Amino acid sequence: MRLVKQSFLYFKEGNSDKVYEIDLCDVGNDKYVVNFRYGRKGSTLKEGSKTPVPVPLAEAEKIYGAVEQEKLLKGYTTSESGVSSIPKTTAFKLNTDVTISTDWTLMPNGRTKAILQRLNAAVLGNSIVNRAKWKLSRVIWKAGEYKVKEAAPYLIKLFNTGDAIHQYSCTWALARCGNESAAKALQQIHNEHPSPVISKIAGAGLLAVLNGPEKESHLTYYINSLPVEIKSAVEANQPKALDTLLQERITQQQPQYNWLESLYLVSVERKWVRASIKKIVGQLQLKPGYFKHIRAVFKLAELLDDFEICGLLACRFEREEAFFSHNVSSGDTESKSYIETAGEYLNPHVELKKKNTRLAYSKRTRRYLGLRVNRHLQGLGKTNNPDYVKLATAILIAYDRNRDFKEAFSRFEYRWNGRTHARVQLFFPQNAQAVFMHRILSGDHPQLKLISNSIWRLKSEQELKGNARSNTPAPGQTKQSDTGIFKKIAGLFGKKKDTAVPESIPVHKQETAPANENGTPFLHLWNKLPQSYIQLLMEAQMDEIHEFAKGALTTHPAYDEIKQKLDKKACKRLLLSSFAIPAELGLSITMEKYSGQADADLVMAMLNSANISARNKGRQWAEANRESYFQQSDFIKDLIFAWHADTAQWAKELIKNSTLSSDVKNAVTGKSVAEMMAFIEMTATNEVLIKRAADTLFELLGSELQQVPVAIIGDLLLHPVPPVLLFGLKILQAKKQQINLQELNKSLLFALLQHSYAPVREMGVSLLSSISDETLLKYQEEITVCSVSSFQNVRQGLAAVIGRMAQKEKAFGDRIAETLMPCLLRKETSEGLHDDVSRLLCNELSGHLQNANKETALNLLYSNYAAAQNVGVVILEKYTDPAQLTIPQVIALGGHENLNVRSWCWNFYKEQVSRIKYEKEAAIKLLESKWQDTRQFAMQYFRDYFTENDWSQEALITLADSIKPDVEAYGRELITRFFDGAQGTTYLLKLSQHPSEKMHLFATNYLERYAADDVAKIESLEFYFRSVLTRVNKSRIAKNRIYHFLLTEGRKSEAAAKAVSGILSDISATAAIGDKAKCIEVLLQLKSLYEVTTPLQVKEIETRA
Amino acid sequence: MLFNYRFAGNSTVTSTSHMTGLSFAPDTLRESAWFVGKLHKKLSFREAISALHDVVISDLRFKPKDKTEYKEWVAQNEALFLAEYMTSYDANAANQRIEQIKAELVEVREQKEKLMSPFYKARKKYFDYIYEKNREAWIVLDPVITIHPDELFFECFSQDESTYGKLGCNYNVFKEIDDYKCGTTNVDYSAALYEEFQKIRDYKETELKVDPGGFTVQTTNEEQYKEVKIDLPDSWVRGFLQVSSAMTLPTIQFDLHPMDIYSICLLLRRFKEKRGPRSLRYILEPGHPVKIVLEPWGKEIICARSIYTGNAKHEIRTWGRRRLLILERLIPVARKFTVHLLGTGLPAFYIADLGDMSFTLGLSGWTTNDWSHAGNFDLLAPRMTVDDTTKQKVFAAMQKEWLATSQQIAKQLNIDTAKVSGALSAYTQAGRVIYDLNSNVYRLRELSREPLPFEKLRFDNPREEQAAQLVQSAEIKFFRKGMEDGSMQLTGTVKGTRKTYNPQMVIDADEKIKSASCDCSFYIENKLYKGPCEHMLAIRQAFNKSRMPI
Repeated sequence: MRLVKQSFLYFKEGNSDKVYEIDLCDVGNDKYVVNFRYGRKGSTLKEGSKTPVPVPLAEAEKIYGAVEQEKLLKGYTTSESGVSSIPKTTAFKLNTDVTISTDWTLMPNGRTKAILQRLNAAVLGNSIVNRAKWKLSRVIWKAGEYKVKEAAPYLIKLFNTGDAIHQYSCTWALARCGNESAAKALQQIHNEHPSPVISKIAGAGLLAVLNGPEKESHLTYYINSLPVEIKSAVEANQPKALDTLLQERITQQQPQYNWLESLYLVSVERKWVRASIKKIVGQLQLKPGYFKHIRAVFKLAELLDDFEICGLLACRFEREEAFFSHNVSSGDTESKSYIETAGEYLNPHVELKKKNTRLAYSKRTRRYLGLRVNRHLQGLGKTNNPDYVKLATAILIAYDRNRDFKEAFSRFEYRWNGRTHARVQLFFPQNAQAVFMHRILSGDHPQLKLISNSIWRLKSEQELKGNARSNTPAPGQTKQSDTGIFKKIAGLFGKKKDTAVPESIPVHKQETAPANENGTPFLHLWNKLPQSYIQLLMEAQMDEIHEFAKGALTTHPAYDEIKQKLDKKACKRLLLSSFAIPAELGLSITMEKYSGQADADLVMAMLNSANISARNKGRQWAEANRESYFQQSDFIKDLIFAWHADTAQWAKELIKNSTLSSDVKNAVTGKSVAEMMAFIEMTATNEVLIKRAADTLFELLGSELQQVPVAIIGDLLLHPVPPVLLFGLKILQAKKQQINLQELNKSLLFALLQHSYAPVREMGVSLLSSISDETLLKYQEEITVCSVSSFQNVRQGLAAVIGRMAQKEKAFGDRIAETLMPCLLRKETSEGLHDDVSRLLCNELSGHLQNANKETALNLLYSNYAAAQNVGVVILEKYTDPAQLTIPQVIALGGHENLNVRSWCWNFYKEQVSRIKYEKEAAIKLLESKWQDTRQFAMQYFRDYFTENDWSQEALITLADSIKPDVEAYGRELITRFFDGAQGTTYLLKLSQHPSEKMHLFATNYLERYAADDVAKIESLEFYFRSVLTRVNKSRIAKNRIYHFLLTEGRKSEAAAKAVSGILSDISATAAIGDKAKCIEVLLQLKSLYEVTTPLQVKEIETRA
Repeated sequence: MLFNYRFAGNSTVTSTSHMTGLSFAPDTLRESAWFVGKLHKKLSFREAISALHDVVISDLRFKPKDKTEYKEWVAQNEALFLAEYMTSYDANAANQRIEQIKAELVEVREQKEKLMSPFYKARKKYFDYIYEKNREAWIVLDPVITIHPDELFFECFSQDESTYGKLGCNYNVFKEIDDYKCGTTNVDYSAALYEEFQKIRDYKETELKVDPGGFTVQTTNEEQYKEVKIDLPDSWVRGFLQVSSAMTLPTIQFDLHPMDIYSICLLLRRFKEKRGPRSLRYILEPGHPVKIVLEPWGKEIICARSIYTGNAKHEIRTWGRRRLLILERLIPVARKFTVHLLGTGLPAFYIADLGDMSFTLGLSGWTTNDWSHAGNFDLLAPRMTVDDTTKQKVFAAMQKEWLATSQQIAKQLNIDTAKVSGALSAYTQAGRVIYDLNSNVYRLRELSREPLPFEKLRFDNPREEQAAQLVQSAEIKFFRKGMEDGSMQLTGTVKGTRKTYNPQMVIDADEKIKSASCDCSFYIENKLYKGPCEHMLAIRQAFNKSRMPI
């Protein structure tokens, strides 16, 4: 063992004085161990090893480093003094040298005074005289919460007196209620405090406290801590660049997002960064790696009273499910719980502490955050703080109809009513899960109930009755039940609530405060800030919220004044809202304020409104003021780009029917093109809109569009939104008389064919087809490539072009045909490729396949793809000299699985009758084909074309030799038809060797005539006789004929008898008694006539006396 | 077991009206062997090779009727039946509803039919196409051709793992033998080939060729080499080895007249057995005609022209008799059939004497070799322990000689004859040598390119292996009791290391285990679902040993 590395670490604190020694040793064979010793300095050290088994050097180094790092972090040092360089909480001392100058004793009694009193007592070290004993840190926190300015010096004084939590509270409170006087203290905490959490808080507090150049320099500190790219984007004031950069960073998960907090703090001052921050905070997943930064941002936002971010996150915490849930009690670091998202059994407490933890945002965290937001909200409300409205508005705006909307629903439950379990229908309002929304809008409504902090339910009749009985509603608390959103909710179920809630007279409050009919908590706070209603109407995304805002706004005593303040911009914004209520309100305000004197852009907003009556009104106004409006090219352009199809149609007619000066027309054209260029995103609505606008433009301003300069068309052609690109192409096509398409950039043209947007490809194809042949021929290579494009419409569209080119220049046709053919032999790369290529080759290029030789044709024919086979057929038909193919090859094609190929073969036979006749020996093999249709064709063919003279005896026998029953039968048919008596013997001898029973029977027909009286023949047919007679249970007729024949022949001569008896002697051993009897009979007769040896033994009949 | 072949193209037959050329494409991965010759005895060869084909495609295993479609239909209509049955309860309303639903259903099914019919049609077409185009898929293992100095032989084994066929042709079968090199090779075989065999005629020149060169006439675009991978079940290889190993055992031998085979086939064709026992019982009495009894009909065939010449009386039962129908085509060309019987329930061999050719049909004990017949004679058990050097010497001598009797080798190597036969039978069991029952010689024949993993193949499952050990080592007692219905009860004790087991089984007239029990844990755990336990197998083996005729 050889020592490689060693380090000594020391720790000295109070009485503690210890050492920690780490060794890295080489144990040979490239293996290393890491050992350690520790204990009080000077005493015998305890030993241990970090490596149970020796490990390679790299790993050992890692372990060594990790141990060393761990100890250093714990406070060990390398210097023998033992004082850690890492500052410790205890070491930090805030300079508390401040004077408390405020005299709070003069303050009126109240919250602030009480807090200050307690703080004062703490500073003086007096015991607290109050009734309730509060922990000091709680008092401090409250001071921060209520922003008690006077508390700052106390906070500074108290800073050093407590633990980390205490210091955290102090810093937090200081950050909130401090003024410039606290800046120094915060600066010190920020710069020197060992805990990053506290230091961070102090830093954020500084932002609130500092002013002028000091604030700027503090901000620079944050900017400098950003990653280089983000920093440069922030410094250069480039929102777009920053946006894309951030998107990139969050889509590919980064190891850490520490910069998020800094960026957030930057955004507090640099307002333009805010949009990006909001977007990113809305997007980041509530998952490990991201969540801790989200939480940090949330806390900072809370500290800085940044309600926008707070509300946004509050809504997210409510809407999004927890990342995991577990049931391990806190403090239990042993037991494990299965965590689905991690796919493992884990102890969440241990796992959460790890550096690269796989967990974050548990169910408990989610619940805590929800409660915290709620407490914050209620706290603000109860202290009559108008900030309540700001936070509530922020939360409400964060809801999104597309994402969060849920229908109202009902469900049945069984409730114990004292006697039985009764079935009770429980009703839930729309968006019942939107806890915060209902709490803010109608949290005090008597008929709504929050169930387990997660869902709102309408109280059942029984519950309401119970309520009514137990506490008769105080006149001030009862809300009118059939108005407001509640009416809507109840209406949904067609329920009459009148019976449930006792009719109550609307309470007449003071004239300034309208009746709170929805049960909105803290409505008076809302009414203090009526502009928040307008904000809600403009920005919120939920119908309920709009309804609330509109109701509250219209009944607000200052409604008229507010209305007066609403300018054209606000009206437009309301009109253009995609929600019904704001649009309607916008319309009514507009009608009131601008009737008859509306500007063109306001009318346009009306025309684009989602509200139909607004659109109709807009039409009226537009038609009334057409003269003046149509002087404005912007208005006409906007009409062309109208959002709604009906408006667009109407606008088109309107423009058509009015005469426009050419100046206006040109201006409209220019502006329209600019508008087209302005599209940045491809969405379904955009696509339709652009298409419609483009069509309208072509219809109305076709000639003007042709004047668009080429450079601009070029820009359009490079546009990232495909429909705009398509628009550019259309202009180009319209312009083709004027400009020479040859000038078009070749790569651009062919890029169109690769475009992912189908209409663009189609346009590209049609552009190509309008190019002259000469030019096209310059693009041969590209066109060849495109002919096997992965897009079907390109392939099919190009067919005609290729056909034209091939006609123009034969060489091209030949070349492309040659290139395309091998592609049929490979597996197709995109669906339908083979078919398209095959079609192209068979139709447009069919005149160019002559170079394909017989081998290529056969290769294609025997390839695995039907498309290739079809091309093979075309080549065969058109270019293959029939003489090139041998008859066996033709016959093989007749057995091809592709019907086209088979029918080609049939045609070949029909056309080449003379050759078939000449090579008939080979040609009749077609009858052996395994395809029945081919066989049928062949039979018919030979019947039709072959006469008696064409058939040789060999050919007929070959036919009959087939073992395909149909061919065999055909053979027999032909033999019978063309039978020539002179050849009978041959037929007999040859056919008798056939193994099938039918042929055996057929051969018996010739027996009598051609084998009679001829011993030699009988002998040569012995195999035949034997095989027929030994067929088990078959060929009865043939057997009988043969027995008969053998008997007659055997009787004729001794030689014949000997031959016959030789056969029958063997057969006579059969167990079939009929046959046996026949054999015995024949043998007996023969024996009686001639000297033949038989196995028969004649037994004398026993005579009995 | 995976077998890889690389055939030199396809085996082809070129047939014209004057001549037939049979060209077998051999496996090019094996050591080359070739043969080129012209046939002399064409018709006999045709019949014999057709019989061999029948062996290749023979599959007599029980194939249950496919009832899935019917069951599907029943499942579909069950609700309807029920509803119809229930109509008696509620007359009109239910009826109307039924009618309504029926109409709806009809419509839905029509629509489904309409939607699915192209698919069904296409699927049917596809299967038809596969059947047409890839018929070779039906053949399990391509036959093996072996060329020896005195004869050429083809061997094959059936799909159902129970029938072995060997066609041996001595060189008188051929007229002009151009060239040959001794060796063994697998040949490419297809159904189309069989069809072409049927066109052999004695007036046509017929050339037989086993040639790596092959005929290279290409009409279609087939590949130069055809690579085939065949995954043979282990049981198939085991069956093959069992049958060929059985040939080396002493047999009871007698001749049958061709018409006796005809008579057996006749009865088998004419009658159908609907119950057991389905055996063929040979009753052999010295000096008397061989008597064959076909059970259960009790039909007797007295082979008057086949006198048993042995010197002891035997009664031997064999099963799987329908496999004998393979011999049908040989009846007109055979002079006689020599039957070799090993004993009841053991393989049997039928050798057709076709003059210069001989056709050996080897039948395993039963057509189905499932567990119900397990525990019979272990054909792959080593017969005699022979040391490895002797074995190698013997094998080297065989490689030199190609064929020899054990006495010849013993003389040549100067080793004890018994040892030589022991070594040779071991090689037979490993599939490297076969015993030619016809000419009573051992012949060198390597079944596969690489030697088979014999140890792995010997036993079907670990219990068989344990049973074999028990038979050798443990004390086994058995007691047989005949039952009324012809079955027998076998009880016994097997002394294990700790416990004595009491297996018991009932064996029916077809030698099938009908029921069995044991007090071992395997039986208690699995009953008979995983086959018999080692103790049952052991007493059955012990019992069967006592029944061996020789």
